[in-house]
Amino acid sequence: MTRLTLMQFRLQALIALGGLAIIAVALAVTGPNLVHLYDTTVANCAANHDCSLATAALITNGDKFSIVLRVLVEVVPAIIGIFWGAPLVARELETETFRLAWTEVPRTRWIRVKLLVLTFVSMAVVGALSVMVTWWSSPLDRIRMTPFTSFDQRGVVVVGYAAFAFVLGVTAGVVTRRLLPAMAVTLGVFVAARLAIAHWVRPHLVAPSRLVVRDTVIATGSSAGTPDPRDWIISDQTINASGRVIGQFGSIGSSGSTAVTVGVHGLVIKGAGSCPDVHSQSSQAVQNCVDQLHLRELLIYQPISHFWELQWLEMAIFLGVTAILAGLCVWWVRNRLA
Amino acid sequence: MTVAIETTALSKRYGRKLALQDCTLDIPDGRVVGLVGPNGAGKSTLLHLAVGLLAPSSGAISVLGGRPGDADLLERVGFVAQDAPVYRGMTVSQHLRMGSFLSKRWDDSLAESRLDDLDLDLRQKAGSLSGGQKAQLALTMAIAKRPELLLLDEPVASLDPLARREFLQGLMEIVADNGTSVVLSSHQIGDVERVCDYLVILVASRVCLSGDVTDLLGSHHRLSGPRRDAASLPSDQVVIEESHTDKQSTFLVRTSKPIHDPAWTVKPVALEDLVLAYLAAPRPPKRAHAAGLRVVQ
Repeated sequence: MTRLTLMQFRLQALIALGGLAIIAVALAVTGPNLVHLYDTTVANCAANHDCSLATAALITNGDKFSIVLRVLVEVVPAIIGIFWGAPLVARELETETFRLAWTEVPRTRWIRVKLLVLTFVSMAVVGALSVMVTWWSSPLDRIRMTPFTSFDQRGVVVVGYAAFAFVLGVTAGVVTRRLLPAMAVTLGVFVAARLAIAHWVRPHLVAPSRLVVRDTVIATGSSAGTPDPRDWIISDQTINASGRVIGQFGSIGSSGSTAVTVGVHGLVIKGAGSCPDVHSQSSQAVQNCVDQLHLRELLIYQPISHFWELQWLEMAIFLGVTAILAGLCVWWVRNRLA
Repeated sequence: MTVAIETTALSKRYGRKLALQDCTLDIPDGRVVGLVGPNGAGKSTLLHLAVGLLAPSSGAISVLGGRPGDADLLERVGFVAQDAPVYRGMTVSQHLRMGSFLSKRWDDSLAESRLDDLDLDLRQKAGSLSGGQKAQLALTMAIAKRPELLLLDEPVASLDPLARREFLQGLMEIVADNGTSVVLSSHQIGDVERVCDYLVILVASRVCLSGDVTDLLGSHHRLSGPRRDAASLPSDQVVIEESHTDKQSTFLVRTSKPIHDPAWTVKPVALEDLVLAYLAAPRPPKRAHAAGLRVVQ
């Protein structure tokens, strides 16, 4: 059955290998150039005191291609789900070839082997892609210092996305029994699941850290931030002297922006209080008032040290859901398609 | 007599629709069995139940003494589905490899020599084969497993007359060579007559007659004579079909006893007429078992 699976998957495997080879060549050609650029400019920029210029030059250099790669890594799992997963059973049902296959080999064995082998192939393809892209992007990643923005294009989570997308596609095909609806369902559910996990689950997978700092965001627009610039700030709340939350990311009140006005009563920060002795709106003056009112920022964030723990946990979630879907698939094929 | 397919009160329903109803059958081993009936009578359903593609809604079915769909039974049963589905993108030789991967009893030389005889190009994609070639490929895959039982669902329905004859000839050779039991469904009574020695008639999701073809022909007679009422016939004669003119009556009857009434002109019945009479009967005639054949309600 494994041999049959591989034989029937030969064309798709060739396309995937071809695609990976093309990407590998493109990365191999441009990658060393980027590394060279990093070594000659950014690596010793501190000595020349022009780091911002050097990093900007490097980012511009790698930008276009890095966007392509970013999209590629995000999209390939969905493509695997749609074009490998969804047809696996749906096409057998539509072309009635299941009557050939399932009278040669018990259908439960058929679906188990197909799921197992092809899930691993999907994971391997996306894993290889992720490794290549991670290698290529490493100079850019080093200067961007924002690993959490490319969290879902690096590391091990992408392998989890691939497994999930493939088995999701198979399940959609089994349940809808038609190829096109199965493809549509696969895309919809995959995107929804990815967004839901990224926005609502990922921030809380590991208990985030909390930090209270002097508020600088109202006056200067930028926060003192967390100890490491690579940390992922989930929320930045303004709290007043009594510890009550009065705003988010420097804006106070329902209007979404902080109203700072100067009047007869001095500087008024709407919603937070007023400083009668301050009569200027300069950022220095506003900062004085903020300090007088004892406004602080409550930062809730995932420190960079949680990065890999979050990666493994999110991958585990996707693999867990994958396992559940695979079980559903086998059950459905055995009991509902007879 | 060993049994190829044995069913007890077997029923299959799709939602509210009954595809097969209360079917009790013993299909003996070592025969070429024709499963006849109009479209939608439940022929495919019965075969799909026998090969495990469908699960019974109620009742029981056993094939070669085993449970349909079990791995070891699938090895012993060859099946060709209606319209002989094949993988369009796979070549003929890849289909043979598929068979060799999946079946422990696979006979590669048998498959290749058969396709060679049929002039099928091994490198051709199955999607570009004609209907007849597809059917031959599917049959080859089924018999290269060296099955004890071959189940064929409307194997010749989509074939032209020449391809049909070739297919049936090939089938008869297989039976002669290997003694394989065959159950084939068809609504072409002529084909069934040519190859089958056992008949099962399905009408409106019920089995209404099954038996050895010779026994069936021996126990059905066409009687013609002066007009009389069906009710006046002896109780051992079951009327399948009757027609009357002003002076004359014609009956198709089933009986295990010889007909002695000198008023009748007794003629044998052709198989096709016999089948058509059963298909046309408004309701399967209810009577006890006749000798050598089985009437199932």
